[in-house]
Amino acid sequence: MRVKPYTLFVFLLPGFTIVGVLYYMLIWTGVVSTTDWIGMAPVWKFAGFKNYIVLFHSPRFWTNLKNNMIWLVVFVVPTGFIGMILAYMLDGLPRLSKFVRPIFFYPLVIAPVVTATLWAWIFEPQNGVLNNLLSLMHLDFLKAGWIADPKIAIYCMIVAGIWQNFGFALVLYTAAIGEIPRDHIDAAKVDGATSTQIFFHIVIPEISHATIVVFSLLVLYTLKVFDLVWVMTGGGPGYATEVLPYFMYRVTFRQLMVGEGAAIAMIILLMSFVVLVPISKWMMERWAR
Amino acid sequence: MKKAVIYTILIVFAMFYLLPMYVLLATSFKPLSEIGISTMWNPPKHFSLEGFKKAFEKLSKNLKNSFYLTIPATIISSLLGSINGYIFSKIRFKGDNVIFSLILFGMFIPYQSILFPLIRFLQSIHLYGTIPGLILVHVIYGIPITTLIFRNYYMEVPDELIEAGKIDGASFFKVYSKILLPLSIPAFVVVIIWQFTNIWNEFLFAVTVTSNPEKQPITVALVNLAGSQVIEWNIQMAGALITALPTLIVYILLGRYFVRGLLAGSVKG
Repeated sequence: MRVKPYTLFVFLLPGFTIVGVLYYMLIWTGVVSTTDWIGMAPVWKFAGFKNYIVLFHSPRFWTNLKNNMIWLVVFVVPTGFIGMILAYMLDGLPRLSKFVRPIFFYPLVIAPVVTATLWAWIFEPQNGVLNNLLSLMHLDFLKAGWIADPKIAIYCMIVAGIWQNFGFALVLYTAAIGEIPRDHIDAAKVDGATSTQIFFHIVIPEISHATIVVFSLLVLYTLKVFDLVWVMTGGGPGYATEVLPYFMYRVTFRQLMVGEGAAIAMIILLMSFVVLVPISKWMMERWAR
Repeated sequence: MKKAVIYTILIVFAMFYLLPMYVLLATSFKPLSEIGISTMWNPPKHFSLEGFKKAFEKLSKNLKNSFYLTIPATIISSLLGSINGYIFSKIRFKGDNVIFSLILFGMFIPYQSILFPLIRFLQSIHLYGTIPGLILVHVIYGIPITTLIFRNYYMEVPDELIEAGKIDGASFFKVYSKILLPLSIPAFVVVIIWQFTNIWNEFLFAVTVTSNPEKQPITVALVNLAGSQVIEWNIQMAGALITALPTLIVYILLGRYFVRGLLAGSVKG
């Protein structure tokens, strides 16, 4: 359909302005990351890559990066794969799944700060819910400091993260498996394939599009995780649970090291490009006219 | 045998999902005196609204703020998304795919990479620290996903319908308001539920943009609910439930539309 350029312009304007603002701010962050800006008042003094170099020499930065990697492995992989397997299991049990699925989905609509508050109590180091349960079951030797123990705190947080986001993987995989043509599966059954064989040879290849989306978005999630850290540990003990998005906030808004904060933000952005660029391209190929 | 394995796995998983909800409910309805070490797992002996009363006293203003924030932000971002979706699905113009991919890309940009300029921007237009400022932020960040959902929905509407409208002399806007808009109700339901849930639950923008406790949405207030001394967990859990209730109710009533929203764009995480 053709329209007059003027009409088009008027209708595109609001959306266009807004997206323009978004990209303008992105570039702005990039520029600020090369300045010496400290404090609330702008300091446009060019400092080259100084902020980045300072970061690369800071142990706190590397702890953060390591924690992000722990999230990447310990959060993304189980959430994605268990979602895939469980979706397949439930696909074979249609009546049961109707009743079971909502149980896994409901945390998706709950605010992350609610999830964090709830799990902060479960993992409370003294008389928290979990330690209490272990006492009741006479398993006192398993009692631990949980989120107060620097060695395991981050894993406790990841448990809360999985609890909240697992339903997302399940929803996407359930839909993808539902779209597999039934005759493909039926034909394999006639040939005597076991359900495990069907899973590996038919289901996994046919749901690869869902796998791309699920894993990409879970990876992006690990680069955004913030609420859980703020509420459950505040990054502590020490910096044991601090991740880059939280680090960026602390550096920018608490220490007012604006230039350095912008550098962290740019590093987060560059890391997200690893999945962001392919998934956007892939979506465009699917959806472009 | 195989069935037994599957059922065992499902039961373990279901426990993992339901026990935290049990804890939340049981604790929030207990008086503080019952949250002892030995009775934690018991259901409340004396059904008490003490926790809710105290939590509500502290949170009621923020609950209202959350509604003042979420409702306008949801409506504005949905309407703009619908208009954008119309343009990107039915009208060809130079560079349309480039602009559309820029919008799509915008959906995934981590909040952190625009957070500080955003604050400066809000300060410069005197909206920093206000609910309208936060509404603007959510409109900006909401446009990509709402555009995407509406665009994919309108792609299914046959072009002939639009052309027929044009031949009848309907203007560009008339085609939208008289033909497309009445067909859009299902898409609006999906988008509105999606936006409502996400904006209601959002924390990072809320905590950065609003520093005055009077102006903060409920997610921020919940985090600040714990006093500096002993944490009264019954109040905490009651507060958490109050915060979660609006989106949970929406989910219980209209959950399938939420799931559709999740699938429609396959969406931001």
